[in-house]
Amino acid sequence: MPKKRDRLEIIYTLLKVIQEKNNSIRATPLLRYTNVSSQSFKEYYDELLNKGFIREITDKKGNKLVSLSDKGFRFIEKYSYILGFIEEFEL
Amino acid sequence: MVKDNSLQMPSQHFTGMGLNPPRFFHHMQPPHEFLITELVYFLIVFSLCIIIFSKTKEIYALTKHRGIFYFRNIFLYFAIAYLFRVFMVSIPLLMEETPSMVLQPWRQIFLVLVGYSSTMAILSLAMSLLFHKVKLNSLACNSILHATAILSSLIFFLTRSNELLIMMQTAFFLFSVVYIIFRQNDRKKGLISQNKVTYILLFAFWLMNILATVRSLFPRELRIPVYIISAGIFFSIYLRVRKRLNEHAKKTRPA
Repeated sequence: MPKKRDRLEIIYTLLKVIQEKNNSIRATPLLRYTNVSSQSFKEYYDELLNKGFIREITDKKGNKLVSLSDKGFRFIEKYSYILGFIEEFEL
Repeated sequence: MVKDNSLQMPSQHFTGMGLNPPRFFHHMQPPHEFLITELVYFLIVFSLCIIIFSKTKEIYALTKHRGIFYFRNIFLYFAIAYLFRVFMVSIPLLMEETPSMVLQPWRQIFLVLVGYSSTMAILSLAMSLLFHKVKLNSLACNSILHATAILSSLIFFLTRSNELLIMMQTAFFLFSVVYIIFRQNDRKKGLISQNKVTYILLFAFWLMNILATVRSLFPRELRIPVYIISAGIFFSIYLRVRKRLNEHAKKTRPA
């Protein structure tokens, strides 16, 4: 499988987990659910944060939680079509 | 290399000098019919290219996928190439009474721009198929592509040789096709997939466009079928893009 598709798949998994956990989850459980190395997870996490797919919020107890932004929701929504497009045009 | 002067002087200049007009004018439609044909063809192809480029904007913004980047660039640069091509074809006819020394600089500028943009389109097409195998980062890759296209257009400008432009672009594309065929790992799609056939046709008909426009080797009877098939290829790609990307529009965002 091309490396780029793996990257997209990991991003999708990461975002999907956040969505399924009522759109708020702490970073440590998120790492466990996505099943990637901690270094890779940090790279993906920082990238998604910098590109506006996710955002950090703080709950009443002061815990830092992660939630999806509008962009993150759109990525999940369009993921299957993105994959279909990539496959259709052999990209 | 034979240099093409057929668009530089109107026919009456030749007859006034006791010379035979170039072949171009023997095969040429009446100017207004020729211009209308060229403009309609340009508008169709240009619109399709821009629509494809626009429709893929969001998925590129979401993924920053290199393949999608090069795919979009194919149509961006073809749109630019067809734009300058129609200028190159139309201006000598619209300004037939203008001395060629006034038109010549503009024609040269358009030649360079057509050379650069069409070479970028061809290289982007090749890269969309090859980028998995290129180890360079995006910046280095794009720099090489632009440098190659600029060098090609400069060579084209200095030599005024359309054959050289066609040969260079053919070499870029053939290298990519041969490399893909002999390094093909995915046998499920077959040696030549529908997608690759489409790209080969896209490239082949671009070359015919160059020949038909500048050398006018195509008689009138062949020009229009070539234009129709060429526009049909772009339209088929547009339909495939639309099919893949329009389906999501009906869904609503999850709560």
